Amino acid sequence: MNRRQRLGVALPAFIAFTVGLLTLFSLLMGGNPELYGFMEQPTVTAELVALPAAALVRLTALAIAFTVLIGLVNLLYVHLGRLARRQFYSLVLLLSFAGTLGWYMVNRGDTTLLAAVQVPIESSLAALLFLSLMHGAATVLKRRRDGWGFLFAAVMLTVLLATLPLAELAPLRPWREWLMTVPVSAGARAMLIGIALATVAAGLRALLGQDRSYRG
Amino acid sequence: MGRDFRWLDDDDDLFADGDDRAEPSRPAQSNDESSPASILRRRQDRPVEELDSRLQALRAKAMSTADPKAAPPQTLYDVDDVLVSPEIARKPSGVISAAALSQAQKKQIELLQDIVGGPLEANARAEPRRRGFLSAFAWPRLLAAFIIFAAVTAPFVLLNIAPGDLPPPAFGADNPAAGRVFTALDGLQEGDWVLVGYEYGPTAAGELDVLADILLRHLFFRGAKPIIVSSNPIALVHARNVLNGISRSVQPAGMSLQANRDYYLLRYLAGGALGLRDLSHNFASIVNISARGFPTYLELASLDEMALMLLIAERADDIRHWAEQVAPTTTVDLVAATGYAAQPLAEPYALQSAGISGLLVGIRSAYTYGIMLQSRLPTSPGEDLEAFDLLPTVTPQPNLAAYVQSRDRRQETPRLQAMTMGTMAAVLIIAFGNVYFGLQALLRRRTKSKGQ
Repeated sequence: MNRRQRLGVALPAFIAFTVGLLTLFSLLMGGNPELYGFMEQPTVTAELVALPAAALVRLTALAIAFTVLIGLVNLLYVHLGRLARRQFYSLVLLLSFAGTLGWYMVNRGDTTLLAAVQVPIESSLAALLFLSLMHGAATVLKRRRDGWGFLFAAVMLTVLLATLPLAELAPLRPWREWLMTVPVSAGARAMLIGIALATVAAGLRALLGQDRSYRG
Repeated sequence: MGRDFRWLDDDDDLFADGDDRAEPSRPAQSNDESSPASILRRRQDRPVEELDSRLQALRAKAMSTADPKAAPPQTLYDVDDVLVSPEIARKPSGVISAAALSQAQKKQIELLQDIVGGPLEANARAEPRRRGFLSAFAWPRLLAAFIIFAAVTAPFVLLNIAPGDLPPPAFGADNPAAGRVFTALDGLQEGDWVLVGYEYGPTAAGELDVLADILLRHLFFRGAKPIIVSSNPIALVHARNVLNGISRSVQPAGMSLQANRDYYLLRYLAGGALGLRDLSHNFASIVNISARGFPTYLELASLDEMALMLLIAERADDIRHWAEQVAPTTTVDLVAATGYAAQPLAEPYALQSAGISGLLVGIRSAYTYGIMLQSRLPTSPGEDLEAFDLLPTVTPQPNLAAYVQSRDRRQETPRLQAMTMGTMAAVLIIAFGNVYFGLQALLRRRTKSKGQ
């Protein structure tokens, strides 16, 4: 790697490091006048410290909004190309796009299409998901015939049975409550802690220039 | 160019345990067309002419570097021809059957053959499959789907089906988080601003529309003004539909909802969690633009000017983002409503008021909430309020009661009964399936142990 290439790798990492630290500092220390009580104008100082984070967050949100537009243009471009190669499924997409846009503009923001087409279709897909999950749950012991499989099936049935509002199944409800508040809640909390740790790790990698995207 | 993924064909083989693999009577192929392996197998490479010029050039370069005279690869890299005698090669299982292998080694070989597919299996799978639309494997699924369909539709068609108890008329001590949502909304005063996070799309509409409808009606009933934001662009359009429905329902009472007067629908917040952070940092500028890009003329400086924040979310991630990015930046309470799927991940934030001070979950909670809201109408008997142990609040203007009175409650009970019937049917199917396969496993194990 020659000097120019090294600079090309180091410069983005340096910019990321600087901007990242500035944002972190601004988020942590900004917007809280009590921290600057020793100064003459603590409110103004707190707002000034918070300014870089607010500006950078807004810039990033704008950039992300722009990528939505780019994605839309790219989708149309790809399907126009496919249509040119006589792949007529793309015509359906393009016509739907034009029709929806035209409907929305002609009818001044009318959202009937969403209520009449999109909502029923997506609700149906959600219902299909239920059937798939039920099929998967019914074949747990076909896939896994060991103690864990039996335990999984027993817990699943206990929770489902206790959900039913039948008086005969009331003795199962304390079991369901225990399952939901102890093991399930513990698992959920573990996932949330895992997400937080992974976020910190990813942030540190980016700040230290160790992220792959900064290393060229 | 095409790669053969047939070895991934049968996901039963991939996920089955050792006992399954050794079963000779087990069907060798699954008809599961929807499995990831089957989808992968059916994938075809794109035609060369569809690739863009850059990829075509790369492909041409790669093809030109390949040596056309290279010898075709052999099974054991030329070792077969040299070392294996014709006698051994003619044996049914080739080298493996001829060599003296231990029991453990044979098991390992069987396992490897199961994973990568032996030559005989590969040949068998090369034959085209006969797949009927209603093959024997599809019947159980069709039957299960039909049972569920019948169970769910029965309460809407037959009037005499009423399985189970209806939800309680008030949130009790066993569900304090839901009670806190009602108390928070019921404590709002006329003209209070409420920031509403509308974070669900059409997929969850079946479950969450009921909750959104009743919560928004409660806001209007109290005379509060919702400011609706979302990080999901479709959700904003859907919110408009729900608001239009509420507006249509109160028209017989001579009322209607008007955007930028009774409620404010703000623009889409791009960037997920980052967009929410932007909302909390730059609230004053975000509330100035409506969903259609027009000025709202709202003069609100920060989130602290809200009386309450209400989140209606489909995904646990959205609840997490609001609890982590918005709630800590203000002193205003955040209450949330969500579906059963997001409940486990939402509860850690709500049970100890860690970001979320109240949580309402699912249609059964919506039913209870509706009864409690109904009891707040000026015409409701006073003893009901005492029975629910509610804090006395200022009675809103009488005409605002139309928002609660006009609520369509005809489908409430059949919907709950349909849920119960559907759950009962699902439990029966799941229990039957697992008992069947569990017994099958036990019988096979017993047969195998007798054979040994």
